[in-house]
Amino acid sequence: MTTEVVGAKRGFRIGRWALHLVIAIILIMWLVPTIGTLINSFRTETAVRFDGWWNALAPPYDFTLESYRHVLTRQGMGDAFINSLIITIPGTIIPIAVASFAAYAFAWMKFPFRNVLFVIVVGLLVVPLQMTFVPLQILFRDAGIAGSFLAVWLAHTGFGLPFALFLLRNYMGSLPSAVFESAAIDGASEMTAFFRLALPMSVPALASLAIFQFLWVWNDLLVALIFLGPNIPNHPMTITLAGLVNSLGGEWHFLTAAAFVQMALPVTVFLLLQRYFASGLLAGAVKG
Amino acid sequence: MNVSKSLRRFWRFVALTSVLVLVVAACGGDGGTTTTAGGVTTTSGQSGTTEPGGTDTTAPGGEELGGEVTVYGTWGGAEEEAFRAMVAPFEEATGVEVQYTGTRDINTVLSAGVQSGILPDLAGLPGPGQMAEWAQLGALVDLSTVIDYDTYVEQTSPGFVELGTVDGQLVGVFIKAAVKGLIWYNPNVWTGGDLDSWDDVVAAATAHEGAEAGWCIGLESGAASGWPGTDWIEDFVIRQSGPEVYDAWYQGQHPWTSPEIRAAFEAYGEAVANSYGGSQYAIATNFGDAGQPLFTDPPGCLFHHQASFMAGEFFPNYPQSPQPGEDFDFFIMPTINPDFQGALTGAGDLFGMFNDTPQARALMQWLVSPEAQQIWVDRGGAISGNNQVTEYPDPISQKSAEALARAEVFRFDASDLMPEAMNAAFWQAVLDYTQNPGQLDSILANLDQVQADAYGG
Amino acid sequence: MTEQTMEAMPPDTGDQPAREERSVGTAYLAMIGFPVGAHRWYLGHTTAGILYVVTFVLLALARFAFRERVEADFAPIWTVAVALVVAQLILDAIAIPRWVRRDPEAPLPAPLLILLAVLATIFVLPLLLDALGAVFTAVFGRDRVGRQVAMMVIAILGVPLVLWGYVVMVEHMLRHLTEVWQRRVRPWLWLAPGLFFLYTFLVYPTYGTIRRSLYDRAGDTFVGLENYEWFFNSPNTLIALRNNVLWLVFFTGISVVVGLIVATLFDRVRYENFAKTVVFVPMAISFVAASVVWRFMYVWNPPNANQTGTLNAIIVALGGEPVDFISTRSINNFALIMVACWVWVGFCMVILSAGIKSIDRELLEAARVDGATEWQVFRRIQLPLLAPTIAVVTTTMLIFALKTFDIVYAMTNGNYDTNVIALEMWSQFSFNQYGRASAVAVVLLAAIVPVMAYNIRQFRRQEEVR
Repeated sequence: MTTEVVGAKRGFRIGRWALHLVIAIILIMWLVPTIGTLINSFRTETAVRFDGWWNALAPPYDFTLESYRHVLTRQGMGDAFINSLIITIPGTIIPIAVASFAAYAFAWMKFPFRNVLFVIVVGLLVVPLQMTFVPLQILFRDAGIAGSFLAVWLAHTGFGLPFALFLLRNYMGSLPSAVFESAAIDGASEMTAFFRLALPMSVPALASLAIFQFLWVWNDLLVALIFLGPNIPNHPMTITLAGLVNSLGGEWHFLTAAAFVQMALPVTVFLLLQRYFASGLLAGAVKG
Repeated sequence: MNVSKSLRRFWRFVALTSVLVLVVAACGGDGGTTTTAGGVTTTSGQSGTTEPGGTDTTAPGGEELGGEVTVYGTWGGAEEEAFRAMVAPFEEATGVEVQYTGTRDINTVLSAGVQSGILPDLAGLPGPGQMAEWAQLGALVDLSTVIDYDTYVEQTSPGFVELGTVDGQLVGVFIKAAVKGLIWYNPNVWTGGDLDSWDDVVAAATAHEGAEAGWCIGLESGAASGWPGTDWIEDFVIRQSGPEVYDAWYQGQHPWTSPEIRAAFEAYGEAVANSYGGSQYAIATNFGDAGQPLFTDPPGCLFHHQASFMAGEFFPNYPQSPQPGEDFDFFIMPTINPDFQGALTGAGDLFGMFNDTPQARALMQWLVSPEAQQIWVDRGGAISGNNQVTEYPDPISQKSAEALARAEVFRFDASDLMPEAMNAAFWQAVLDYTQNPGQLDSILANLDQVQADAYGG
Repeated sequence: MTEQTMEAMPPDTGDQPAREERSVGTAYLAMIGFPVGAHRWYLGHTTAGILYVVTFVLLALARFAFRERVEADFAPIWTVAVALVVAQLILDAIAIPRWVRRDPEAPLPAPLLILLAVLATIFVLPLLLDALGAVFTAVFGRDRVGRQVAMMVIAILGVPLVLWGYVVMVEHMLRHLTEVWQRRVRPWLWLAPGLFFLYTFLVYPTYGTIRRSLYDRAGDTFVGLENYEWFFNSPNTLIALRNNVLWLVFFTGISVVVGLIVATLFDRVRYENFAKTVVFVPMAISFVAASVVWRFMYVWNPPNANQTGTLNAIIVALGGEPVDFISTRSINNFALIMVACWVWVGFCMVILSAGIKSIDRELLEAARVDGATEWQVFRRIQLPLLAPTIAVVTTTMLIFALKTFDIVYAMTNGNYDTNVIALEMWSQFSFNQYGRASAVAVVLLAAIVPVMAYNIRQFRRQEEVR
């Protein structure tokens, strides 16, 4: 029996090495594209056009910040960065604010058609946004806000609401009912229960929702294209970047720097807060 | 508090509530908050800024105006810098800030803008075709009230004036022009000089002495990939089949499956077969870079079919820094069918005005003036449609300008005259054909389908 | 349209930004301060109530005056209104202790706080605006930015405040009703903002699009199913359909399978979290940025030239001919799908990983002890237990496969037979062919409906268990 175990262990060890190797290959596959682009963003134009990025890792070291400077000032990425912020921050906060009240109602208030309504919300989760563009564009135009940031904020609120409702309602619903019951016995109003109990206890869900929504709005291209498209000074970075990709004349060595300017913030946010992001995903996808 | 008293209070409260809500709604619900959020007063038609048009509006024409004017165009990179150089004296003289924004999607942006009211003051229009559509919708300002119409007509070739006129109103002016269908070559490699018959050109290209292949072709251009191929085909159509067929064709009245258009495609296909790197290279190479093999050692190709603006921002920036005249020269694509001689296609940067503001007027007046156009011309590779601009910085630009002035049969680029959907299909057809020459029949049939409903939407 | 509105806009002075903030602030004040006065009125403090109403009317007038740009009347009205508000604050400060002692139920501080917050926002905002404007002008050379940021701040602070105030007002109103009626009405009032957004931005447009798809380009002639006929007969759109099927099959399949493999493998090493992060990070990258990143992987150079694209460099180093991944029709769709998989495998991995971890270890150990190989453990125990999780992940991926737009738009714009339905919709939209664009959207919806039905069914099943 000992020999069996030893044999198994030895086989296992070779297996371990193979495992580590395979994982290493996977990690390399995932990192290489980004790293290549990152390195390219620090190289000169001729270097990027005529040489693979891996050559930059050997002397002569020819690094420059020129791409970043150019992209931030001349190509409008600097303005676009601000625009992205202006679009994303309200586009995150407003849906969460709206959803939290409604989610609390779904979770802790009893009323007829409650389930039917929520089923509709679940159904709305998958409605493709394309279904809404034409009428909304006309609506915004008639309201005189077409092309403004307000239009995009409202649109993102509407679009983000089903998922926010889904997530928050599930989370709030899973809060211990004993807490609410004792609060009701003590004579607390619904408002108190909401602001003093439900909201503070839902912070993890709110946090992961915030990250989700932030990433989604920051990285969104289509909604911005449709509602801000004609209003070029209001373009977020995704549109500016896509425009650079489709550039009409060999300027694509700036693409790398532009892409990283666009990526920097969400990746940082994500890395710092990935715990919440993952837990939010799980709550939304697995639990519900 | 007893019940009745609280009930009274309640109803008083409700009454008050409704009155106040109505007051607020009446006063505040007019998009007041909405016009301020996002900083866009779309009611004024200006894009992205709520700053009104300046304080003192003194008479235009070089006096202090202040304020700003928004301009949309397709230029980026070197071309954008050329435009900024062009407007710099204007900005200094009048104090007006020119806010230029470049976008590749100019057609989408302006089309959507015409619908939603978000429009720049001035814009580089995608082509006379779209311009006509917008003029008919009333979106474009009649420029005869903005610029000195008589002077403009005097100074500009009639063809250009007409292209910018819709229903008798001048709505578009050309601030820069280009001629197309030029055969570029490196005089150090091709020593045979100008050729004046297409058969000679084909013979020379087939022999491609001194170079790896006859032609250099580059089609890549982002979302507009394929447009250099459309230039090829247009040049063939007008030379093989004549201006009447050409006109009917771009107006959607001549079918793509006709023998004339088919012949043009096939002639283009022959060039592709004889090109450096073949169809693969053509598809993958950006149009701006495609001419590089002309200057390499050993040369990759003998000839490069492209427009006159190549000499401006593109050739001089190649690593080999070729010089006009010494390292690159051109001759106009010669006659193919002796019945149709002296044909030349060209294009131009068409500008229109959407918002009539004093600053926009001043800028428009500046842009059509010979002084302004001279600035871009001086940078090389640009031609002006204004006959007062006579100084060209190098022999190549001079030659291009003369070609334009002397053209017997001049036609504007056909794809720019077609509706956007047709144009886009044309580009794609070029790409498809370049990759799969054997599928010409189905490609042309598809184009006919698009033609059937792209016109007169 | 532009000409008319140009005439309607009289010449203006540079005071506009500040006045606009006051206008916005006035509107907020009116909406938020409203429950304050109402509450005071209810409690019987008539004087304070009247004072409030007068203030309110003045503010409304000021708002009206501003909108009509009647400058002369504006300033004094505004000044008086502000003075009155300040007076009320003082009154409140004196009165609060008395109120609290008299009516312990009254949640007074909240409305007052709201009022203070709004006032602070209004008065501090122009200063904030100027300060921000100065900072950004220094950095970017544009003063438009400062104002935009100020707008954003108003939106961020204002909307939650409005909602808060709305709920406060609702609760105050409800207190007049009996308990029974309160329970019946309250949920709907709480739901109202959410339902409003859902209806306006999701339900109504869906109906609007379906309707629009039955009309022609201009929107006034009913053409029935003509747009759908066009969709199913145009070669371009049929290719898009075919490509979406490719995406459905391969994007979903590869993402889920690779996600599963990766989750299983990572589960067995100690540096699992690091590895999972590496694979997960692309999810934070926009599809456009991912397209840029992969563009440099896919670059094609002529065979005799230097290869600058990562993949082609590897291929050439191994002795092959460089491949143009973007334009070669037999593989370009897969090249695009690869990019999407690179981004989304992380998502699948996280969820599947959680599923894997939720399987009892002892179960697996018991099987191993009984002599099962790793493969059998995987296939007979883990897979069946993971089935629901896999189903969830798969349906999510299916939806994204149908909706894919960004990558195709950025990398090929649909050229070389890579068109997809969402991109086709955008193209029609950009040609102003709203009827056709709507038809394409409806087709997309129809394709998603089965997934929607499945989701709903799953949801209901889980609700029963709850």
